[in-house]
Amino acid sequence: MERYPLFWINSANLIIYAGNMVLFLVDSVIVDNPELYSLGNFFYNITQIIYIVPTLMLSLAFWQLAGKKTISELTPSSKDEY
Amino acid sequence: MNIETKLTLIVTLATGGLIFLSLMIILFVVFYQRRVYMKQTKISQLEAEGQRELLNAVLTAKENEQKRIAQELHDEIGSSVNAVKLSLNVMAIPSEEKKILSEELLQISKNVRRISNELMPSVLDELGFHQAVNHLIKKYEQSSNGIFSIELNLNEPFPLVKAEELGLYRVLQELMNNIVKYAEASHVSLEITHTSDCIVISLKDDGNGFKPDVQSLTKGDSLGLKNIQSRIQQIRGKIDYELPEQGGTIVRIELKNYERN
Repeated sequence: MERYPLFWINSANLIIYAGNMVLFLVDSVIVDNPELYSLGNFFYNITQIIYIVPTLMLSLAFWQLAGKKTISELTPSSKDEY
Repeated sequence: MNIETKLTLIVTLATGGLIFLSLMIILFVVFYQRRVYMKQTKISQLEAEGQRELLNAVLTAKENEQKRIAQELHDEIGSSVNAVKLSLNVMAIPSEEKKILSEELLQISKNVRRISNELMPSVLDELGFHQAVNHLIKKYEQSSNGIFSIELNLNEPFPLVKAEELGLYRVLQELMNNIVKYAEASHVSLEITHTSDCIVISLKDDGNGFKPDVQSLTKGDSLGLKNIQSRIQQIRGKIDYELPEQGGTIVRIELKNYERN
């Protein structure tokens, strides 16, 4: 499974959206309340830290992409080793 | 606790929780897929094992039946022909006719012995695999103007069991038959290297060149090729066909000692 780029791309997406979901939800609360502006910087930093993991995963995806020539090689088939 | 702290705490916890959940999902997918794969591998291993056992049973039954027919031919018909030949000597018929009949009977006796020997090579039981192959080569040499040659490299050879000897012998017989029938070769060399680790048989010819594809080995009409494949599978060996640049075919059969059981 770890040999297939699409696995890493999907995992990276899952982490990005799961990590940012709450931040997006409170985003509007911060914008509407000027007294909470100081929190914006903190949340921005959290976002940057969260991005480290998906970025590493995407790097792995590109690494695994090397040497693969057909689209069928990007995802595991039932006969392949996971 | 002011609203800023509350919000920070909520966001941090919720984000952390969601990331943890995502990682768990990813790990679950990885381990689940791995388990499915292991199960599939086990099933296919069992299937292959079952098929091999079935093949073994079929080939053993075939060999047993051939042995029985060979014995019957040799003992029953062979001795009956001899008996007729003896009684011919005491019959009151002209010597010219007696001579013709005697020659006919001799021919029948020779044919019966040949067929019986082809069905169950007694030389394999009596002299062992290497001598039997030598014998086989000599037989082909006689019938094809000496295009066959053999080289035996024996270095502490590991003992072959009867089924392996017979399997390899039959495969060689079939391959040589194919060469005589189709290859139009002017030189055929057989090299057998038998050590304590493995036995490697290399059959080279300078004929038309032939490499069977997967389809002809599994679905094709060629019974001979399928037989070769199943016999090699039965003894857990490996067979490769190569087409060298200078023409002809090289068939390489390998049987490793440690892979046998």
